[in-house]
Amino acid sequence: MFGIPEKTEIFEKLAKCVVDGDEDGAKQWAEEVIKNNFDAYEAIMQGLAVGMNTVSGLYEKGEYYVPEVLLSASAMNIAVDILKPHIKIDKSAKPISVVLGVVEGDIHDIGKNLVKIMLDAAGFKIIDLGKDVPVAEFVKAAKENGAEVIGMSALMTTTMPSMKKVVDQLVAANYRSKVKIMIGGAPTTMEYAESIGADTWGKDASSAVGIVKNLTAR
Amino acid sequence: MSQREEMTPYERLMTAFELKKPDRVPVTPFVREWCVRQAGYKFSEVMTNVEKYVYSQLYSIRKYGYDMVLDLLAVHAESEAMGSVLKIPNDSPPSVDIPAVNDLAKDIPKLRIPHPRRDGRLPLILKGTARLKEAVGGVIPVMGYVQACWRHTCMMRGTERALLDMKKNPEALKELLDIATESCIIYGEAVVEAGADLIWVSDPTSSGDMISRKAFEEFVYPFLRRQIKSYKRMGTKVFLHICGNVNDRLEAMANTGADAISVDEKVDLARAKSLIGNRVCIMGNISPGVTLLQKTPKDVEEESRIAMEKAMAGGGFVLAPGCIVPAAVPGENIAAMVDAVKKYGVYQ
Repeated sequence: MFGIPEKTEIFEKLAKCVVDGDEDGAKQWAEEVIKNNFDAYEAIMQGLAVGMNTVSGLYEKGEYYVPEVLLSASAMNIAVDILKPHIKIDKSAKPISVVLGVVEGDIHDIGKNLVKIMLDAAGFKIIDLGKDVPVAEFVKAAKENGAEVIGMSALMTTTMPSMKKVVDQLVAANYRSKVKIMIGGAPTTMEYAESIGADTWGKDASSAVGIVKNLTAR
Repeated sequence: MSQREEMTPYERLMTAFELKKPDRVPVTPFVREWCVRQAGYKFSEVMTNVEKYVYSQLYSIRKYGYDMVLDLLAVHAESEAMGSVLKIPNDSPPSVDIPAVNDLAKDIPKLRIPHPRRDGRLPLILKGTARLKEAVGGVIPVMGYVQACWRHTCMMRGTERALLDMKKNPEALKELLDIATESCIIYGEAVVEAGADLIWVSDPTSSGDMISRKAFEEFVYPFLRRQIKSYKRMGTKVFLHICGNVNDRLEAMANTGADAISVDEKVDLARAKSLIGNRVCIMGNISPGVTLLQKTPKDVEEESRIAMEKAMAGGGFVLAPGCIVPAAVPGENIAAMVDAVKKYGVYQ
């Protein structure tokens, strides 16, 4: 090596590895962070998250597609796994929790996973319920985790009606005012979101971070 | 309102597929679970009882009078017959729970192309095709479903992993695609033999919402073309459905050799018509999730009228939804689609 690398230089490398989907590079530069005793949390937020933000932009512009985003996420996760054990936990800061899931009857979870990747990278705490999630699970998870946002996804016209059931159940449980609801997925629209009583709709995964920030702005 | 209809649904659809003008625009709602509910069954019942499935199709088409019966029971059946494990909910279509190919190097060599008359649910589905043909053959076209080879690949591998394989294991993925294509060809042959007048090849994982055009051209197109060409050589009609944004690959879709291209509301029908309408029949594109599910018959009629205004001129157009019709769609909205073709879709 050529002396001690600059912190910002390593963070830039990490960001680039995420953008390029370079798994080996991500591993190497994450190890470099630890070796040089740089702050692991900073490396995630100023390196990996910045890279993922670029990826999100490229996806939105139609330059990146799902395989490219998945590869970037894979590189990011490799680095996160190395960095995470070294994060100094700050107990005073409580991150905003978001419950995510694909609604009942629907197993198409790629879009939801992309949303998770983007929100994760942006520092939100994600409670991922997975796919084919029973209606009651959303309500339960939101209550148990004090989540501020519920995000639901449906990729089939046939499973969209499950979203309304979740909203209705939140109303019935007297919990609707406690959470914001966002929905997404190919067949859904803003019009549909409004019609079922959700707060908003996201066109694609890249819009998720902005939406959650807006919904939770105090 | 309209004069007496001169063609049978079979003649009508075939005429449109041949890019000519039928008596009026054919209308083909993509109905499966919708019919199952109309007939009062749960979806899990028809998965094992093909007579109930056939009844649901016949009941619905007699009641609503559209132009095609659908053997759409083969949801992931080829992938299931090759080892993927399905989850079968009580009242909705099944999905792949555990994909067959976990480890590419170890599991690909184990794959066997299923025998359509012996393996999995395939014989049961073929029986359904034959029963539909017996019941309405020659008068109403019988559609048989075969998933596209790329979709079949995703259902054997898991979609997310297959998408990542495009980047990480492209050669192994192509090997899997090759096997999937063979399997789709062999099964499709049996579907035609069982009596299907046309085959629906569906490939929702191929749109621009998922993969780039470059990836489509490298991983999907050559295999899909091989699959569709083989059906064409059997003398059957084929329509290719890819829902989502396919605006940058409409021409490639037409180049696969399909007779018709079915698109959803992310494609402007006028643009599709001018781009490829001289080569393929266009099918589309009433929104199933918004218009059919949530709006009034009047809205359905208006959206249908606009679709026809954009794409019916000169023939070669079929009014269809953008994707499968949800079970909860009100009957009046399907009736409104049928009324719309009689009101606005008559050719002079």
